[in-house]
Amino acid sequence: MIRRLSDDISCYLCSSLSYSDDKREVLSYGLQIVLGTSAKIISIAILAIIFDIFVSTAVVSITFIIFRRIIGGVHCDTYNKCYFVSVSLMLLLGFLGSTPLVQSNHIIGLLIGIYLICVFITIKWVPMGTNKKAIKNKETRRRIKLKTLTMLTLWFITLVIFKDLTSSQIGLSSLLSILLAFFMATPLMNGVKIEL
Amino acid sequence: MKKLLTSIACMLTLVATSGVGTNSIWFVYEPDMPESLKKEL
Repeated sequence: MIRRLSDDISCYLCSSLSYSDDKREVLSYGLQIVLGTSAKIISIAILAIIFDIFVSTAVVSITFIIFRRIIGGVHCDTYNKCYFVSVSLMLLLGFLGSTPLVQSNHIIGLLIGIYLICVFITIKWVPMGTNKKAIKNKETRRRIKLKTLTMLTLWFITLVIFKDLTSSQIGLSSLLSILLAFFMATPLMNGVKIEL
Repeated sequence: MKKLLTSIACMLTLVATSGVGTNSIWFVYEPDMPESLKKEL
């Protein structure tokens, strides 16, 4: 539905502005991103408010988006599957993050463990491509690895510094989200590994 | 009207090209990328 709507709107834009077919494809691609993302954000926000897990779900979603954009990983083959999986996963992690699963003094141990796992995944597999899109340029891949390691280290330091100020709910939500984002960038999740 | 449509088209082009240097646009679905943008990978 999103694809068809995007194609229709991009056709209208291109006929009005006399753009080429190449340009129409780019506009349709941009529209699919805007419409698809908006539908997911609105659904997640509404359901999180209904289930009273808005803060933890917001932390999960924001952390996930920041890392996911860079590291890549598995994708669903249709928008409907993606919608269902994305909304369910964010709400599930938001729910887990809002429950007192881990005592706040254990968060630091978990944090170090997850940081080391993510560093290993970054060195070994990031950026993980898909059948539709894979970054093959060696220099670009090296740059993405460095960017990921820098962001991961900044995230780690921020959580360590503010662990006493933030609630364990926020810390745990962020940890779960990072773990999911990096797990999705491993070959276990059927991504396309680029051999270099 | 044409100015508004041009602005919308520019914004959509910006969104589309912003995903080229990164690996995933957002969650777990990746729309088919246009050939013209794949060249930039």
